Amino acid sequence: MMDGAAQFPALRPAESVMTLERLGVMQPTRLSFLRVLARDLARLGACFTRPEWAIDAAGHGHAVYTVTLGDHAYSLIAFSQDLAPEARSDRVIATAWDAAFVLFDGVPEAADIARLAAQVPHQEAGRLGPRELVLSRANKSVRLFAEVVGALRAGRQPDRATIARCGYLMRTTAVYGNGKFGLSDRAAYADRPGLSGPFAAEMLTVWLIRGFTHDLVEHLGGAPLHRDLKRALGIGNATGLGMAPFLVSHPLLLDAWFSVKETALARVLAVEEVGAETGEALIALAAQAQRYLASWAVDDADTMADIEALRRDWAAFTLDLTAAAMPSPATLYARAEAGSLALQELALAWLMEPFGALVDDLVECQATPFEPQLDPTMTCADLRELLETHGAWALAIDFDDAAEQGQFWYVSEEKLEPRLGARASEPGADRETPLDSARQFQALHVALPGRATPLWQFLAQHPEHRAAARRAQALPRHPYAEVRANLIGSYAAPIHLLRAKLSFFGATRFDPKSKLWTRVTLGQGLPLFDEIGREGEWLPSL
Amino acid sequence: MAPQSVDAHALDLSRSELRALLLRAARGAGLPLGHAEDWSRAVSMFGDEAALTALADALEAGWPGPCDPTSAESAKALSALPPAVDALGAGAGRVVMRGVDYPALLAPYLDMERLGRGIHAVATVDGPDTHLTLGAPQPAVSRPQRMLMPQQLYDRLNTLAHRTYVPATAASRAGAGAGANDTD
Repeated sequence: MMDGAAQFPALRPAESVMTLERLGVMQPTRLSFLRVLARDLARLGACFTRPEWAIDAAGHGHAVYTVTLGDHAYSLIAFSQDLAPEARSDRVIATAWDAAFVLFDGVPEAADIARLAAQVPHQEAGRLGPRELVLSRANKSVRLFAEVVGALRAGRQPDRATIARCGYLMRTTAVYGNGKFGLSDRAAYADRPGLSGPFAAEMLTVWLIRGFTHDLVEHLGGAPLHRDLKRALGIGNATGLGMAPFLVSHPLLLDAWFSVKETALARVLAVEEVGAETGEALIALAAQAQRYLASWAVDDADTMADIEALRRDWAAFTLDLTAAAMPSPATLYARAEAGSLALQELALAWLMEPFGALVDDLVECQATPFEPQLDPTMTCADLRELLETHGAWALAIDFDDAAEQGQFWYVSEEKLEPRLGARASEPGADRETPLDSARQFQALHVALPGRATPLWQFLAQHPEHRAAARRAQALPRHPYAEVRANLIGSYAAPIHLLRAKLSFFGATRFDPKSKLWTRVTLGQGLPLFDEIGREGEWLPSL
Repeated sequence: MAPQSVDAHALDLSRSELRALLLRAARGAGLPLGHAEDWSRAVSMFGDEAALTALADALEAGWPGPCDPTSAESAKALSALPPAVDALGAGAGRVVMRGVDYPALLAPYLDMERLGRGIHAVATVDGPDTHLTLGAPQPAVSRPQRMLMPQQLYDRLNTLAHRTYVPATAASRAGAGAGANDTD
């Protein structure tokens, strides 16, 4: 039976959606990029082979995995090497890793592999070309890797609880794409089947790396790992500040991601009656979420307290639900809105999950080639009014308070990586990276005359406001383009930006190590190489 | 860190690298953010080394300050071109720029504005004057994805970009990533 649908409700306002506090509790959804990958692999009838396995008894050497999407073949070339324990670091400033990877456009010849063997293990210090789409590297989770290999060698399966606690055999510390270090520009392949979505090539690479780690432990252990254990093993990822500025420097892409998510929610909330089948799916998914929350444990005390609170809230929220008498999504979401932001975000991801037929087509809108463009026909008075309507959050900040400008972003000279400094005590604020949209909007508002002066004339005399004017003009049509927060305030924690971006990737088991960096797991619950066609799991747990 | 190259005299750069380099170089040269963004966007339209060399020359000369494109006696391309195209887009029938300092920058900048904002400006040179008028929409210009950049030109732009970098400190590294040795 079809679930009945009525007029879509209004999307949640950006003032509520785009706060740091809400971004900091986001969860993956069925629209997350890794889930899209799993569906694309099935939709395109992806063919998978492992044409080369030149890995020795110690686990070192190289391997090639080839997957065909539409008319194009892509190959992951994995290089595995010996790494001294003292050299194993997740810092982006590391210079050697257990394994290095490249996603190659096509099927590599021996000469390609020889060329890449001289470049890929050096990562940022190497040089790639237009045939290479993604560059990555990973370190072993020494504890789990040894446990799994040891168990297989001993003729048994590894301890399930240990696998559940860690969740990955290797942890990537960077997954570079879109032209970095000479890689192919995304524009060169963005119209190809399966690679048109945001970070699609990077997600494909992560999925292939995950399979390589499964193969590697089976090779070293000399025995197969049980299928359910392999499904539960994703790829770890350690991520820091390098990821945060992207959300500010790609405002229309940010708007696209959130517009799709909010539109999907609105479509689901418009469903007036939940059929029995969907009701049963929601019950099963609620239990899945409960298991996931129960298995999600981190060292950070504050985060752990938040997880424990969410466990209690979720249990209470789902306590009386039955498949036969499932309330409408709007009723359920209204109940969630009475709770914490974390409960709301989990609830909306849950509500979307059984409604793939209603929301999955929206993922086509998650990528955009567009950037904000300045409209020179506007008057200064109109732009002032626009700022007061759509940028009130920025105009309300008291930048005379030193704490509101307590931090500054910059690019480090040594690794060209984003960093965050304390304005009062660290040098470099004169070279600040302009991630201060709120301050720029306010400065523009102060400078704009309230008259009908043409904006272009004002900007010719005040070019320092050109960037802010362009961004501000985008807001009426792209309300989710700006994080509604002052990212240079002393209190602004970049970890919230990381959580938001990683949830769009489909990351699970968010495990913050400070307000600046986190570990997560990618790809748990995705289909294995011989399971293409199977849906990925929303919140997997063993 | 400068990219390595198979050819010691030229670098095979992706467009993304080129654009990121230009954005930082323009900011390092002192351009306001909006103008730096415009010129880094325009670099996608730079089809040859001559135009890019002209841009490096202009950036090394530094930010010339605000410029009213309709009245300047000596138009500075870096600051005058964006508002000149704005003026056309806002309804000015013609903008006359006198003595444009780097005329090689005109074509790629106007190409970028055609593609980005759909403002189809055409430049006609008449002695010392450059007349900008709106023309008929042209088909999009097809540019190669990548650029072979002479090492010397890369070094010049990279020197400007370096002005935006800050030496990391122990304080800024603290808490920004995993421990130096990480064996969990």
